[in-house]
Amino acid sequence: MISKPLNNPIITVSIKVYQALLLAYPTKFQQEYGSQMAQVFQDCCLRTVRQGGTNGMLKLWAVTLFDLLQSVISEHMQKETDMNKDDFVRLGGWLLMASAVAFLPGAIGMILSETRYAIRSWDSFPFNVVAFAVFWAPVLLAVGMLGLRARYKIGGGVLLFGAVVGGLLVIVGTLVQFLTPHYSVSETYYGVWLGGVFLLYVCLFIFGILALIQKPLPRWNALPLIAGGVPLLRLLAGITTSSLEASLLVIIAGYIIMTIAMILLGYILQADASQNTASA
Amino acid sequence: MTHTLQNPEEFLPLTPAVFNILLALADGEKHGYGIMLEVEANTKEQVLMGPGTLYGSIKRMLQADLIEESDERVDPEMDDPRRRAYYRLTDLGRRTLRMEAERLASQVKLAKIKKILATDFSRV
Repeated sequence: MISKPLNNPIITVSIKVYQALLLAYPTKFQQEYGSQMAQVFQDCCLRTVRQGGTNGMLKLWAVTLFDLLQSVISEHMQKETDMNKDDFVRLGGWLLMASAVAFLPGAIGMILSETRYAIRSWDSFPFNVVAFAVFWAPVLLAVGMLGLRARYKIGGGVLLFGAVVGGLLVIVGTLVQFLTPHYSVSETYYGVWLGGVFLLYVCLFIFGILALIQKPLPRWNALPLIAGGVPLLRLLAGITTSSLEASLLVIIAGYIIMTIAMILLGYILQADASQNTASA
Repeated sequence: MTHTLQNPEEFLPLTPAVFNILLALADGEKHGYGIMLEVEANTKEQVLMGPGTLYGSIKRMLQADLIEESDERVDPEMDDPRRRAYYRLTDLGRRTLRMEAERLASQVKLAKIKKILATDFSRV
């Protein structure tokens, strides 16, 4: 390999110029790899002078400048992509938390209203706010799921499919319900909304199973499974309990657990946003 | 974060720089300049990487968990007393390299079947 540094002014000047050119890279990249790159460039200079004489330095500079230009552009583009992706993932984390908080009161209220109250009696404050929040919360969940997908690349398109199709069903179902006074139409689109919510949670649940196996999260990989357990909870409540009160208690307890899991999942996602996994 | 079960196919096809860096690290850990020398030697100087391409690729490969930094130490074969960061393959990196090599081998096999290679022409 290469041996001792030469006391050659061309090498000294070249290294100083190269170190100055390193300022063109994004600051973070420069901080992480700048000194190593300068070291490698110095090694290249020493070898070139030893093998090709000073004339070889011209070729080295030509190759180095081309490489520098190419990689500076590439690193700046990568930085932009990373920043946009980081911001989106962080937003996804916050929206998962927001969706959990917005969904819980209305979800519990809607369960109770099925047996005790008509949902359309919620026409006064604060019930209208709660109803508004519960109907739109799944849209926040859909965007949060896209953030999860952007950060943890597992499960193929399951999160994308759930977020897009489920999100669209929720938006259509909610808009038509709120804009259509006709009861039968409104009821039909309540079913559309419910289908969208069901799809969102099923896809999150499938992602949860994969997360449990592949462990992409930095910790608590069971959270997506718990957070996406709504459809199973309904089923479970029907199987394990016989009385109405017990069934309601199981569902409400389940909703609370899932809300906590969703908040923790959102917290982990937004905290993990800047540690992107890049494709090589 | 754990990537051990990540599918290597997600990374294929590899760029020449990434493939050659993985190949250079296949027989042991190396520092940046050592990788550069190995790649030049392996490719008969057909793949020339400057420090920018080298460390840009290393950065992305670290993020993708294809390689990892082992430690920083002085290279005893060089007179430079400064410490250097050494890199080595991860399990995912090794599996990815194997899959890419198999992919390339199947392409070469296809080229042989179609009598594209010079060696095949000599037999005709």
